[in-house]
Amino acid sequence: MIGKDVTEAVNINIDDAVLIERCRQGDSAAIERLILKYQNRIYNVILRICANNDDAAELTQDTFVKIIEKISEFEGRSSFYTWAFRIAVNLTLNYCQRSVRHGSTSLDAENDEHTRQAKQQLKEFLTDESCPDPAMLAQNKEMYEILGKALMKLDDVHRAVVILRDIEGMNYARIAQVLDVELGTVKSRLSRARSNLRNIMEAMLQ
Amino acid sequence: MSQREKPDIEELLNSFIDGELTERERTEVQRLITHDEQVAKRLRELQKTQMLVGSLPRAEAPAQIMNGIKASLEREKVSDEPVWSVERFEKRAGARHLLARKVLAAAAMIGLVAIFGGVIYTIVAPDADYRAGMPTVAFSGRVELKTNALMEVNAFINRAIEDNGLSDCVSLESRGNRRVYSITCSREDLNLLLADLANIWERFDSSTLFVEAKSQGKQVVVNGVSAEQISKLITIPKPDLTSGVEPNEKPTGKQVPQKQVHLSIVVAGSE
Repeated sequence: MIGKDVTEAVNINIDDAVLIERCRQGDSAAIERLILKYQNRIYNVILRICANNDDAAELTQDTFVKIIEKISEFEGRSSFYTWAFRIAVNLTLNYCQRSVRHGSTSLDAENDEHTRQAKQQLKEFLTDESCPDPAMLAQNKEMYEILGKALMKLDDVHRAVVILRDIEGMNYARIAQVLDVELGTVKSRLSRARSNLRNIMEAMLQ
Repeated sequence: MSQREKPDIEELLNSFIDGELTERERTEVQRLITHDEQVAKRLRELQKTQMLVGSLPRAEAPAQIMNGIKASLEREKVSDEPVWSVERFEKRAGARHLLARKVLAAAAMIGLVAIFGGVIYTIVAPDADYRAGMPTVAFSGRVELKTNALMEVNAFINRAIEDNGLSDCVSLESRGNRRVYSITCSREDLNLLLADLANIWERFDSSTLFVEAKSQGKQVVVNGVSAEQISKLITIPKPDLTSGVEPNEKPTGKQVPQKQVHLSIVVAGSE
C-alpha cells in the first residue's frame, strides 16, 4: 500500500493530460504522440529487466496496447508516467517469472582479448580506492556485456528496482508506486540489489 | 531512535547516494563517513556500482513497435465481433449479444461434435491411469503453430495470458525462433485463453494438434485445427467408468470442475 502523501505528491503532467484526453476520444495522432513520447524509456527499462531485444520489443508493444485499451480507466491518481511504467514492469516481471531461457553464454566461454581487457578495466574500476572516476566508464561494449550478465543474475525484483532507480532515474516514492510496494521495501530491495550486484561482479571478475 | 528503528547502514548509504535523506539524516551520514573509514569505503563501493549501472547505454525502441501496436489495436477492433466462446463473454465485461452467441455456440458445438466424434472418442477413451484412479490431467495435448509474424503473435499470446490471469499457470521456453508455452490450468481458464487466441488464429500458416491417446498407445494428430476445435476437445470430459457410462456414449456434460488440463502451445516461424 502506498502512503497517502506519496500518492498526492504526484500531479498529472499537463501535456500528458491533454494527450490522454485525446486518446480517450480515439484521436490516433494523440495515441501516436503518446507512444513516441514514452516508447524509448519503457523499452529501455524492459530491455534491462529481460535482457533480450526481441522480448523487450514484444513487451513494449504489449505494454502500449494495454495502456491504450485501459486508458479510459486511468483516473489520474498517479501520473500517467507512473501508471504506464507499472503496466510495463508488471508485464515484464510476469514474463520473466514464466520464462526459461536457453543458450546463455558464460563469461568463461568468451575469454577473447576484448573481454579480458574489459574485465581488467572493470576490476580496476571496482577495486580502485579513490573516488569514482566517470572517465573509466567510457562506452565499452564488452564491459557492459559483463555488467548485463551480472544484472541478470540478480533476482527479478532486485533487478527491477535497481533499473528503475539507476537507469530510469525514478525517486524511491515513484518506484514504490510503480512496484506497488512500501517505501521501506524499495529501500531494502535497492540496498540488497546493489550489494548483491557488486558481489556478483566481483565473483565474475575473479 | 531505538536499535529496532535504526535504519540499516547500507540502506542509509544508498539513500544518501540517491539523495533520499532528510537534511538531518544527511548530516548524520556525513559525520559517519568522516569518522569511520569502513563506512566511507563502503559508500565509494556503492557509488561505483550505482554509477556503473547508470552508465549503461540507452537503446532506441525498434521502429516496428509502432506498427505492431497499430496492428494489434486494429485486430482488437475487428475481433470485437461475436465469437464462439460463451463463457468468455459471460465472464468479460459487457456480455454483448449474449443470446446470439449462445445460439452460435450451440450450433458450433453440434457441428464440431459431429465432425470430431471419431477424434474425440480416440482421445477420451479411458486409459490405464484413469481406470486405476491415478491423478491425471483431464486433457493433455500440444498444438504446433507456424507463423511469419512471430513477434506480433507472441506479443498477443503473452497479453492473452496476462489478461486471463494465467501467468502462474504458464511456463515459457524460448529457443531461437521457437516459443513453447506450457499451460496447466482448469478447462474454463484454457477455454478463455483459446477464445482470445481465436482472434489471431488467421495469422498462423499451419496449426496441428497432437494428443496422446494412451489406451491405444498412439498419437492423434489433427491438422488445420482451430482454437474452437481444441476448446471442444478439452471441454468434453473423459467418461466416468464407475457410473457405467460406455466410452462411446455421447458425453453427458458431467464436468469435473477442478480437473486440470494441459496444453503446450508451440509457436515457430519468422518475424
